[in-house]
Amino acid sequence: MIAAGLGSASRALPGARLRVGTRWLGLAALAWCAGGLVTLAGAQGATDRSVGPPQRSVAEWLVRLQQASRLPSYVGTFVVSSASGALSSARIWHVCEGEVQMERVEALTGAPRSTFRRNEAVMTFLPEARVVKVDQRDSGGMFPNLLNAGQGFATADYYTASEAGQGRVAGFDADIVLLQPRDDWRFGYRIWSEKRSGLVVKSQTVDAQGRVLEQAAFSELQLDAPVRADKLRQLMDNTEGYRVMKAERVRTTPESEGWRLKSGVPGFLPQSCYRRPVSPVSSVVQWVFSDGLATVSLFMQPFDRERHDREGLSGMGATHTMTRRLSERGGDWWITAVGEVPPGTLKAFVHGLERRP
Amino acid sequence: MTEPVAPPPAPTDSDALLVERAAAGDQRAYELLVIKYQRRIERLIGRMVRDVDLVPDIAQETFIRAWRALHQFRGDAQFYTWLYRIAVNTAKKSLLELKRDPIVTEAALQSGDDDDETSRRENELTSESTPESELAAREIAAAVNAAMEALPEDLRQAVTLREIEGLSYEEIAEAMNCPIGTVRSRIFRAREAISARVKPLLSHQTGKRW
Amino acid sequence: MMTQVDKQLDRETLSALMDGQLRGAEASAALRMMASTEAGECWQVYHLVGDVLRSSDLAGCGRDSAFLARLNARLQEEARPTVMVPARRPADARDVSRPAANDGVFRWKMVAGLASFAAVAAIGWSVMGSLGPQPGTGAQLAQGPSAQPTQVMSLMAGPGQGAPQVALAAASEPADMGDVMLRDPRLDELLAAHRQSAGVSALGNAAGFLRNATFEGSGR
Repeated sequence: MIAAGLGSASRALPGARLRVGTRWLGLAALAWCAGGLVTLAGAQGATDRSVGPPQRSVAEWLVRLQQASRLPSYVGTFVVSSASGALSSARIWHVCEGEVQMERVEALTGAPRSTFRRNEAVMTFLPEARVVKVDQRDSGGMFPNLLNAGQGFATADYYTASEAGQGRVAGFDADIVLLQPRDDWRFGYRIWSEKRSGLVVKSQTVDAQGRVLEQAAFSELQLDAPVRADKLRQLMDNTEGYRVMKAERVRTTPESEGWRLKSGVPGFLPQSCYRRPVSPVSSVVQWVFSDGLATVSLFMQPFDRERHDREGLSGMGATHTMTRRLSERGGDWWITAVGEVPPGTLKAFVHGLERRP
Repeated sequence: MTEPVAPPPAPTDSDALLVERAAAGDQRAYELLVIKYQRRIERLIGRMVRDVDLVPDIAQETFIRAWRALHQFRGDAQFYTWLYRIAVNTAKKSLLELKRDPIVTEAALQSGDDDDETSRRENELTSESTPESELAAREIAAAVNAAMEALPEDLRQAVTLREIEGLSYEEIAEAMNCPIGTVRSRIFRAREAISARVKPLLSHQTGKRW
Repeated sequence: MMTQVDKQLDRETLSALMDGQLRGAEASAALRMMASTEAGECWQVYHLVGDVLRSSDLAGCGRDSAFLARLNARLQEEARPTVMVPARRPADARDVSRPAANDGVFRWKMVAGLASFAAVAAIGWSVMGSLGPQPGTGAQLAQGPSAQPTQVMSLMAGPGQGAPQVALAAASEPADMGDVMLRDPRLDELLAAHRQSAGVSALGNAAGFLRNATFEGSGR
């Protein structure tokens, strides 16, 4: 099954622990990876099975898809397209050597942009402006929580997984998984997972009417390509001729910023909260929620008559935004909600947001 | 030229008519499509292939392959998406043939390529990056910007909604609360005004024969 | 067969042709008009303008004036396609995505019936509709979609099997068209921040990275 992936993982990591991103999964997960038939302790919806084709639960699928970041290497061309025909594409190099994951993403559409990632450190080179932005990638605390029974992470409660046969993408055989939402607060996904490694080679975001809003796929892919991490490292570290700008993002809490959600949306749990500058003199608070597959960001900033003149709903592909002015005793605020969710979900978030008394 | 036998193109696809004609063998219709997409395809190829001198050749190859495969294009997707994929495949094929991808080292490659691996030149401005062409490109961009700013508000809004936001005439008519005929006229007048500023900068290029 | 058109080039018609606005006889006449040198130059410049508006770095591409001449020569050497163009298939009324098993080729289906939604979700961002209920009635939205665990979406529905129309408490269908909002660079910054925070998703790093990124497309 994924012997290759497992082999590299065990080579890199002595002991019975499999590292996913920067987190550690337990023995249960490792056993699952090896056998494919072992139930995942604590996972919601896991059922006992003895023989027959593997029927993975939502949690199991999510772990499997996520672990593909441990793949030794791949190179490919990735294309995201929305229902209107707009498309965005990049060439991607990925390499994983031991504890270090590296990626290089070269934009093939739109303004030129080169992004390098080494574990959680990200450098984005913008040749037109001759600027390189230095930042951190959010590791997204979702997946390890799948395996903590106590957390009871939402995802498996709000989606069901079913296997829908096989397909072929970019020359690779893939298992097709449908992650269907149990309610209307979120979209569904059809995912093609490469048979051996689990790598997501294609995915579609689907709405309640079954319409595909957005598709993301490798149009061509080479697994186990001999990508050289040292070369990527050289490119990433070479900032000559570029002005280096550090991202100014500060972790904070909704409480200290004076916000709370009087009514949330089922399944979406708060993940993180940041304050980030939007201009030399003003900043915005970003509060991030996720159900494990989709993410919603709520942005709050003081209302500015000059800049904030359009309330409403908009969308492209699977992503929607909503803006609204919130008036309260202390003053007016401008709320922007963004997420790969139906518009009704954003509305619920925005209307559920209030200032703390 | 004969009348088309196929049903008229769906209103939302500006390429459909040309694609149908081209697939039926109309070379001129195909040329119009090439002109429309040449720049974007060359930019795409330029980002995949290090050697800028190769870009026009790979672009040629792309358009030849697309012409040959046109009868297989089923019209149930955007023409540009289909053409895009052909460009990527063609560029990739060239990369493999030339063993040029600097990050992927193949067994046969020795370390002779090391010297050009530490730059990111393939991303920096586009195709032919001579100082003259960069300057010319900036002048064209500046002329377009200046022309846009000089446009009357209704013309600028109409052309923005069409070219940048990609709305159909029907949607623009609704958004601007005017008849479709007015939309058509405004877009045309905006294009004319901007073209007038740009054309003098192109005088070297337009000696093409039709 | 080239026909030099004697009368003045009708540039407004050319502009409409560019945008797919012509039908039937008018379209055929326009294509005949496109045979002239002047028409070709106008087409070239109008498209250059469009490209530069969308992305200024395209101003530097396609400067090889001999490109088209070379291409034309090679195309003429190619055998003409002998297969007749199949008639365009009309979009199914409820064109739900086909079962995945057939979808071996990267193919995007333009889904009819998406009209009121995707019609405004074009290359950039556009406002779908006004907000609707005032803040005071927000509480009802929080309940919104039914609490029943029934599956509301069928990913496997073929054409003809309509998925049940789910009432989303008027939350997802746009009200009226309202104003059209042009793309806002400040919104782009928030989108970038959102993209970054979407973090590691089951869908893979690439999808999260690229969604919301600058899209380009042929326009419609």
